[in-house]
Amino acid sequence: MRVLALSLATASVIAAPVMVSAQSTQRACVQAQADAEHDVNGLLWMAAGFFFGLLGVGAAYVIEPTPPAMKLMGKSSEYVAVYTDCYKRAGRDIQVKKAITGCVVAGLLEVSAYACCCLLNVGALGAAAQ
Amino acid sequence: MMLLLANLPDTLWVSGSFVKDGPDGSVAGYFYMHPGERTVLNVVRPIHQIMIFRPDTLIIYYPDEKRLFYIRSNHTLFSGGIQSSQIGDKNLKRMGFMFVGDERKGDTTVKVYKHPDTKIKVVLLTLSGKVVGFRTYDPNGSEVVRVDFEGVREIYRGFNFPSKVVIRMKGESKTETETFTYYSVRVLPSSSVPDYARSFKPPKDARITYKGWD
Repeated sequence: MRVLALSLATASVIAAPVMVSAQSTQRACVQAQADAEHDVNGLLWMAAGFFFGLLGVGAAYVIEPTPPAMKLMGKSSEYVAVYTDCYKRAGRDIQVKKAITGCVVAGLLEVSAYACCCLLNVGALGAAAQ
Repeated sequence: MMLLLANLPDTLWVSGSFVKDGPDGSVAGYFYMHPGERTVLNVVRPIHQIMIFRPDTLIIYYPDEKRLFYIRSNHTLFSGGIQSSQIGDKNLKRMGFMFVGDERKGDTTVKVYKHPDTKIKVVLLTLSGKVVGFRTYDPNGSEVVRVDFEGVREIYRGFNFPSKVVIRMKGESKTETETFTYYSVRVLPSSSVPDYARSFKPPKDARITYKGWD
């Protein structure tokens, strides 16, 4: 019983800083995601996807958003490492998602315009045949 | 922000100490600015950290751990003094903003500029020819950023510097306020600026991480 208690006490002493560190880095990632959502111009990337199609989607994937320097001031090195990675990942995900949405909307519009043309042609041919 | 900045002769730097208060708590340290070129912050509280702002890179160095980050970044910091309203006006026009009108509100002159393409509106507040604040509005007319310069004084010929900058950024759900308070601001010759601020050379045994070049 004493061994178990001692083991638990030792584990808590060792684990406590690890848990604090894990919480801090988790907080960095959550904060980075929130900041990326706030900073990334979704409308711009949607327009890029709409007007430039796959090129716009490619650009959204390649161009990395830059993390705001002010958010890194006074933060630990672990926080900076996690924050910058999470910010870039989250920012890029938003950019790509928005660009794909724009691309799909443009595609759907094209398809529906094409379908309308086809229907009109079929209708015209049907009328001519009668 | 860069539109409102003035420059010093090449051989001079601006230095002082600062305290930044924001939603994340308080950060304090010293700053060295070579306006328009580089800004160096030596953060001493809550952690020892040196931040070097260059036009395309943000360098963050932790002397205690000898850990170094090179982060690709195009962010600029408030890196200069504040111009007179005439120069601010000229620069805004050069950026495509059109002067819409002005009015007096008490002792403050309010000048309104609008960008014909982006529809962004900038309102410049001037007092005795010095810019004491500005507001930016999105195309829908909602205020996005509100910056107030307090205690603006001339520290070199035509080069003004505030003792306090209050920045309020309005988001969709909340408004964040950050306050920079500056102390003992003075102009220094290059020779009085520490080596790490003038030309930072990382120690050979520093652990370097590149972010944005991968």
